Amino acid sequence: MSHIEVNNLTKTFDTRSGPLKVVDDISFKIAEGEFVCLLGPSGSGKSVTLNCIAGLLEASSGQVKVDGVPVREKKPNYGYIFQQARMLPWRTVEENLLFALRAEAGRPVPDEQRRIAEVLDLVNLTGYEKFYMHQISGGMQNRVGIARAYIRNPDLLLMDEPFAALDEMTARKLRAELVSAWLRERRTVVFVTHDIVEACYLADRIFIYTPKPTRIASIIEIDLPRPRIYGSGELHDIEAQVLAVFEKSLSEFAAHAPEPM
Amino acid sequence: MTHLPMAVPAPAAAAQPSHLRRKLKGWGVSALPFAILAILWQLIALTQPAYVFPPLGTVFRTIYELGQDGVLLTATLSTLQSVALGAVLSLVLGTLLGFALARYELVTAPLLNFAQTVPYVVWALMSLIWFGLTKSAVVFTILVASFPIVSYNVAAGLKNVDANLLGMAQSVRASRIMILRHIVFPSLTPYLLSASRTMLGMCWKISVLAELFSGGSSGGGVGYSLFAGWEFSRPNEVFAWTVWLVFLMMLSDRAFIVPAEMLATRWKKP
Repeated sequence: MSHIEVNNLTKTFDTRSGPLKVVDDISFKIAEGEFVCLLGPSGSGKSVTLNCIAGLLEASSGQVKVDGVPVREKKPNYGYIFQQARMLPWRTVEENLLFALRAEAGRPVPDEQRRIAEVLDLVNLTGYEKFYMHQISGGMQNRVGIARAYIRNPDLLLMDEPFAALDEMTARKLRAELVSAWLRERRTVVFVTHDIVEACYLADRIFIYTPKPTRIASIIEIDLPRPRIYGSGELHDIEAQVLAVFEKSLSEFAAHAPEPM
Repeated sequence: MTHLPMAVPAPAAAAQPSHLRRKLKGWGVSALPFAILAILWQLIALTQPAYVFPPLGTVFRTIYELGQDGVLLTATLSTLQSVALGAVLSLVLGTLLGFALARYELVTAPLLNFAQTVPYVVWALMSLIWFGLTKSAVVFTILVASFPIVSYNVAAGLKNVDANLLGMAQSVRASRIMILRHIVFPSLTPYLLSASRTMLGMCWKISVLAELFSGGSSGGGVGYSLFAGWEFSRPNEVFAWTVWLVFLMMLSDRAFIVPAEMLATRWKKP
């Protein structure tokens, strides 16, 4: 499994109104097998951080290393899970998974059928191999998206608000499945979310982002056994703690902002 | 309770005739435009002498006679050959240039514009200068007139490929071939289908124009025969060939585009 080291990461985008600094000099380390949530308001650069770790975006300055190797030199072996399932609508569940398996080589790889069966079992979709996307629900499509990330047997899972578009009951179910899969395999997870309850339910550590330009306001460690229980006293205490950090950074942001929008 | 078992077969029995009726109605609706056209044709034919506007019966009889004569078959085969070759080449060249248009618009767009702006008649004459009175001249004219339709559609399709899917492909490190095969081409399919439909119609029309200029030595196709009918003052034949051509166009759409459409949209079935 992968470990991650982010040193003085800064990301600036060129916009029509001049350069826009989205991530400002952040540094952190994530240990092997750790589950980390990046939590912050929307537009705070969480996804940008994630894409820098994936090597999909290049850092303006600073460095991201996965397993000691800069991602600029070698892209890490990650599975990426998006908010929308991003499935090929003209391919079946099975064919979508095959696309991920064969993506690099362009031809069949060993043990395809076994690997497909395994990941579909993992996300409880056995029997849906031949279904097209319009024939299954949104939540099921998200599961296929998760299966697609797992099928490449990644050392690192990068998840960008994967459950944000789902109803709460479906999201809870998928979170529970995610946690039980993680407990079994201990893949390193970096999970982007703006949902405090979700972050507290999932993470070993929560990195709380400030509004733009992003810094890390605080890192909160959660040492509770899993599966955690929504609405339990311990979880509630941590949620309150996170909320306090949030409030503080928001009020600081308001104080420093040149003008309210 | 007692009439429940009785009620069960009733809807099934009712479904049979209503299904048939719906089918008949469907046929009726699709026959309607032809009926309107036929009535209008006959009305005009009534007011005009036969050599100006022959009635439909005469036109169909002439088609039959041309069939008996054997010229219908040879002309149709000859034109079919040119159209098939022109259409396939248009599709291939048009698609390639469509990719170029999407990628290097500044270079490709003026070239395509040029090809499109030169009148078809001029292309037909030019192709005679370059290829002589041959079938190649006909195919070239068809090609040059038809491929821009495909190019513009392909370029538009390429601009509409879902960026989310391309991002997903990048996240699984998909090779260019895999992206083309599983994302780009499936996204292009509806554009290629609608382009092919227009393009195929264009091919038939331009084939007549091209054959008209290149004469009998280009294979004596439908266009040439039509022109010959006109030259020898046989208006019945001019009308007959025209109606036959329209029939061929519609047939080619049914035979190729409709099945291709069904094949490409198979996955959309519920």
